[in-house]
Amino acid sequence: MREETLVKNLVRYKGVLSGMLTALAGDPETADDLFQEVAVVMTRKREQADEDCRFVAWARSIALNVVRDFRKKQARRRVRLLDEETLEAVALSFEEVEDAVWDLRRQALRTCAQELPDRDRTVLMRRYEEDVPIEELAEGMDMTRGAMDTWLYRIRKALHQCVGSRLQKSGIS
Amino acid sequence: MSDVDALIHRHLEGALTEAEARALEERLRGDPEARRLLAEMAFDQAQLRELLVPADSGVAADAPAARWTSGSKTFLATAAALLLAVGTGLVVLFTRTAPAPPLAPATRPSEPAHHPAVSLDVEGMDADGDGRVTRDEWATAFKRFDTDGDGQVSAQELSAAGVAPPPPRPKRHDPR
Repeated sequence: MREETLVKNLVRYKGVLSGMLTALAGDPETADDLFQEVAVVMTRKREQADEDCRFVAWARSIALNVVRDFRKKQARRRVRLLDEETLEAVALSFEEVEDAVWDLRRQALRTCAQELPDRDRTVLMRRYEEDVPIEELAEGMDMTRGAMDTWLYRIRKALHQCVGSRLQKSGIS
Repeated sequence: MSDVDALIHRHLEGALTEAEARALEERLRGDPEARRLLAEMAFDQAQLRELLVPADSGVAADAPAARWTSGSKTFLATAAALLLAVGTGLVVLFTRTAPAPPLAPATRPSEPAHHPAVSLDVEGMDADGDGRVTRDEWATAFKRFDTDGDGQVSAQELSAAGVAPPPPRPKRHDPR
């Protein structure tokens, strides 16, 4: 694969790859680190990939290897990673969704995020953009960790339902 | 709320207990819908990190093209995420806080939203030639791109510096 093609594909599929690594790693900050590692490996191995290869499939195989390496290095890691069989099944599920559906999902998510109350949006930003731990968020808002976790869960669910509803109206199930 | 929703949430927060992890694994292995739900929620979480960037993050809401400012978290995070394609002279930028449109009322979702990555000729940016671009080296390069000295780098300035244009938007899906 030519360098230009790799760059274009990384840009094109960044969202899907980030989502895949988030699903596999189960931790936003780890997913960020793994994303960069995957990109480095792809850069190193780009000549082994055909110009018109199925990029997400290639990315999936590399992502799984990177996550496996990470698991070995982090054997005593506090966060529990999914087992091998589940990791493979989850990674594969990203290939089963059409690229265009991911694009539409992102558009719908943008709209749904805009519609969130300011307070919810602020909490989401602090947690997922600024990586503030739940405990710290809870302390800053004078609430328990459990209450903050429940709040984040409800926002996540509300967003998912909002996006699902919008996609359904577009004819995507 | 279903059990699997709650388990997926805890997984994506890195908070699963051993028993919860086993329960989630069992569901994910045997239930394609559960896998699809995890994929969607993980995708959403990853996208939110870009979609939630506030209006003062260095991306001007009304700018015709994305603009970066040297003092913003976005800019610094992007600079820190430089990935060198070693030996090729190219550098790829992509990061969770890449320039993204703010969640402002003026945002027009139907327009091309942002260009999360560009390729740059790194020659000259990596001043000490160690294969890495430090914050200082990036700051120096920024000044070179910011030819009008307004503290922002516009698409025009990037173009004038020889930066490749962003890729075209993907073809939209026809729901019919």
